[in-house]
Amino acid sequence: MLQPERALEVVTDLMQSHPGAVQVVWCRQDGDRHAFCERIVGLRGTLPIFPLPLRGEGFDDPNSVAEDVVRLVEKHRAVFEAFDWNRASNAAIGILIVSRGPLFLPQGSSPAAFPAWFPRVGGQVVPVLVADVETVAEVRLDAPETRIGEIRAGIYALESALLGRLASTQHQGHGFDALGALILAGEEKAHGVLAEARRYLDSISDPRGYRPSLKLPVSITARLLRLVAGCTPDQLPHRAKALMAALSLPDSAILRVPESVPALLCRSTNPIDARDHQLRFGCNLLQTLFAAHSLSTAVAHAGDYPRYPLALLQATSFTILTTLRELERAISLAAALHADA
Amino acid sequence: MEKVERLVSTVKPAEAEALVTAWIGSVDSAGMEAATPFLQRAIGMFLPKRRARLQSLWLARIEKNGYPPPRPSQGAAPTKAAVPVVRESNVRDFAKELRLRLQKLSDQYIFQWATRYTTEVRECFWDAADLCVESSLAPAVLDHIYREFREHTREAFETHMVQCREAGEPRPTVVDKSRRGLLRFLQIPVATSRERSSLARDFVGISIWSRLCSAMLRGILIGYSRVRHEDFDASAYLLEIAPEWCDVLPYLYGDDLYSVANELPASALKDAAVRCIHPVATAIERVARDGERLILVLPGESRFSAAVGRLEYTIQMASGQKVPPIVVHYYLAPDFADVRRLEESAYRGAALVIGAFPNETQSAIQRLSSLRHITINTNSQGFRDSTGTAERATAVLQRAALGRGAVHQSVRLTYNWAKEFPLHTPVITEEYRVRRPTVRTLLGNVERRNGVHVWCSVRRSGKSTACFALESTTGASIVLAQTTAPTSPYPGATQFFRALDRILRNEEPLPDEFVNSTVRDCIPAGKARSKVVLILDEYESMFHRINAAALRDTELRYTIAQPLLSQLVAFSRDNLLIFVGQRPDAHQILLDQNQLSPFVQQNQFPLFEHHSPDASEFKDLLTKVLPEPFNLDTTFVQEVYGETGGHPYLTVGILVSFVEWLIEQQRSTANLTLHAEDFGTFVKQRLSADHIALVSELGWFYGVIGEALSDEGRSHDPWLHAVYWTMQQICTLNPGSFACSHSEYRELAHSAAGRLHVGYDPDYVLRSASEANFLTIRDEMVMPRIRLLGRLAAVASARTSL
Repeated sequence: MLQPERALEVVTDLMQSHPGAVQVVWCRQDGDRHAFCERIVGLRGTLPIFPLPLRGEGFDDPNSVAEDVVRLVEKHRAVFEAFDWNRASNAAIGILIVSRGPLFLPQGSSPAAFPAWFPRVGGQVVPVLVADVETVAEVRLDAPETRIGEIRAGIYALESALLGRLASTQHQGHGFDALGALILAGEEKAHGVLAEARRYLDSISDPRGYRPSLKLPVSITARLLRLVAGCTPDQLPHRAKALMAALSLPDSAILRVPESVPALLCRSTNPIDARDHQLRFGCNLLQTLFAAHSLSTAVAHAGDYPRYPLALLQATSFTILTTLRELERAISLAAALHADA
Repeated sequence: MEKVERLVSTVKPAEAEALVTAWIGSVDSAGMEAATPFLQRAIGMFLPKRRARLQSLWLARIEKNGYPPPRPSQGAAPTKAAVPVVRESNVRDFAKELRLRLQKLSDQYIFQWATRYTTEVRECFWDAADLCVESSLAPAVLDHIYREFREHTREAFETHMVQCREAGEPRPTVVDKSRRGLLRFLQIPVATSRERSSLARDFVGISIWSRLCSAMLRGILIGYSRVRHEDFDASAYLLEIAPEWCDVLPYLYGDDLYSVANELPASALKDAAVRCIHPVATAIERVARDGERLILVLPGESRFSAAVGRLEYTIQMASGQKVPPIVVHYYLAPDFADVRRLEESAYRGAALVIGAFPNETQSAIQRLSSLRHITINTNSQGFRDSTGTAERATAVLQRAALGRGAVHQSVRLTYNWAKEFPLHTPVITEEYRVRRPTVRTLLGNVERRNGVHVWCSVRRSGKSTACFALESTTGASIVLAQTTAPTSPYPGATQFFRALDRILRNEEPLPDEFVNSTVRDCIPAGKARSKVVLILDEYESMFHRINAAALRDTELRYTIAQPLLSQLVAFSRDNLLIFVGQRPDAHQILLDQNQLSPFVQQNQFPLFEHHSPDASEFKDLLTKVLPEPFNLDTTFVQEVYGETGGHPYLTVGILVSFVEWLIEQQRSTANLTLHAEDFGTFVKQRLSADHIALVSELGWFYGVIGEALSDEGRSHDPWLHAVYWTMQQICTLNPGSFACSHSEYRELAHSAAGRLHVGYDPDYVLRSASEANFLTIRDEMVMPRIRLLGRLAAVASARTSL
């Protein structure tokens, strides 16, 4: 669900990227639709964008979608007439249908004529297709809906928890060897690497801008990411096992963190025992961290990548962010439990 | 030759014509060449109507004998020896005959605009034009026309109102019918005059046709304003509905315009007519008379936009080269202050903008270079009388005409003429409308029978336009067209569905005689016949509504839905019911007790045919989209037809894109003969799989196909989904030919994917889709009926929703 400010930005963007005199956009709103419309009217300035709340009538017959649009416009004639057309920008006229429900109709009805009083195209048959803002409105990767600041802060928090736990277990002499063999170079010592990683992490002033570099792997995240980048999905469980051995977390329901969607999509073809929560946790952690870092890097170069439907970005960020947070909470809580025990 | 000359000079044109006709018939191929100069001279002696008739007879004869025809002309020029002799007695005869003709219309064919009235008005034009060649007689001819049309209009509308009232129709309905009648009547002289003027090549020819049109319009408008019926104030009503007819005002000249304005109550329109429209009409006439290389095709095209109070008058030019039209924007509202609108006029290429603007607007106009030189403010000093305004308007228009006059080989095409085709107007105006004998033939084939038929075709195939043009009364039956689209522009076309809508909304039981009585109500007074051909356009919505009501409330199934289906069946026993839409099976609702569907037969609805390279509906359409000086070679027409299959919307859309491409290619205006190669190159460059999605004129169809291919498309309209999916597969798998064999088609439909997307018997899909112009079978191969649609289907993606 979009906030009015963002809805206006997205629709304005849509107007500019699509040709045509009129654009009709479907926008779902659960809350107070009247207030939503009022807010957009307050924000639109000289842009001819008209939010029209839909109250139950029409839009249930695929054969009459165009007629329904015209009927809705006719019903809200006053809204169009109240607009100061003398100062209107030259952008296409945007009709924003604000509805509680989604538009579940195939379109392709015969186009209908706009009423004679309608500005610019009055009396003309303008073929329009209603665009669902959530699927049609495509945004750059660096759109606020990607929540990249929160994701970077999530990486930071997860790394912090990992470092804390690894420092503690390494100090206690628990099985760091397998992981060490994977992430340490010839002469490096575990405690030195962890201490340097901590110093580096502490030097970060704003976790929301945290982007560990893979080229200079001072951070533990960077070392783990290189581990993931260099292996196939089937090789990953072996590395996850080494990580979990080093973390030495107690078996607990706390470790049952649902896999993020990217982790699920990169799962190993070798079945993992569903009850092996340690291994699943390790795989989930490595792959989610990798996905979070990839997204973070792509956002920094958003111009090189395609635009994506808003809803898709929202959902992708959501699964990564929630999983990062749950992984971090699980490590912190499990470590605390272990200490208590 | 001498005998012909003698007969013409002694005003015996019929005998002279018979003589020349016989002469033409007697010339054989050997004597063709020798006879040509003499025959041309003889034909040139006649007045225009007979001259045109003889000319076409001669050309037909030449063609039949295989003799190379002379360069076609609009008729040989009259020779000096044969100055036609027309006397006052001819004018009296004309007046007498005109009165009889109009009387016959009143008595027998009242309100039959599309048929009888059109024919009679055309005849009147021809006869009057012959007489007006003798300029001293023209005023008398025009006066007769005005008076006869005035009296006829008054009498016909009064009679019609009385008839309707006697038939029990309520007053508002009667008044509304008279309004619709007036609008239809006014269009007849305009369309006829425009049609003829486009062929004229000199000022005299143009002037005659436009003055005849003006006199008729004056007669109709004044006649209507004098209608007396009960307490109906026709004059006030005429003013009230002015937004609907004021687009004819630029077609009125001099006294005609003054006299119409005088009939109106004091109003802004009256002022604008006198102060804006009249002086500009004078100016246009001056520019037309002074034109040397540029001939204004008068009357131009006129449109009124009620939302902004702007009347747009567009004058084309027959200059030998196609040049942009001269456009005049009249602002009819007093004190029109919206500067942005005026700027919009300049932006849209208006040569002259005229209106009564307040002072502050005048200051803004002066500041804007785009407006300053083309605007006349009738509130400004110097333009408060029509003489000053006419002078200034003449200067502005002359400059515009001159600017369009210099055409050399080096001049590139810059204006997209195809965009002028009114693709987005709800009703195609008469001059752009193509007569569709194929649709009339289709009706003729089923008209004698009773029953239920369904005519389906791809969206925007011209179904509504064609069906509403079928409305007529012939012999024992009346053709009545109705639609479910509430915004239909056709007057009275939603009456049937509105009656049903009321019942559905109120959830009332359907009255026993609902279908019969509602259809009866839709029939104009005096038109009742023993049989009705009821055409229901956009019929899918009606069945959707009924089905939705029945699913919502079982009770409604028994009180409304099933009774309606039964009544439609009963109606079709004595009448003919024709459903028109896109899909053939929308009537298949409540199938366990549907008595209607088993009776429904699907007929092939024709797209614009192109059987003959010389004359076809399709060629007619192309000529209207790309008029002279575009010269359309038969290979070009064939090539475009091969791509669009005669689908009108796609044809116009693709030609807009094609001309845009010609402009990009910097095509010379001196070389506008179009061949198949031109279109072929365009197709290769712009309609290939990697480009076609970028053609904005096809964007809507591209989107619509994506909708049909979507999951929602499959569940809401499985037939359309199956058809587009099949088309997509055929065109994707066979990118060169866009065709597959019949057996490959069956394999496709029976494949795993086919079973998922084509939930029907493949033979049914193929047959019904062929009859609805989606697919076709040719030489045992299955292919899209419209190749362009196939190209779009091949690249379209199903829309995916969240």
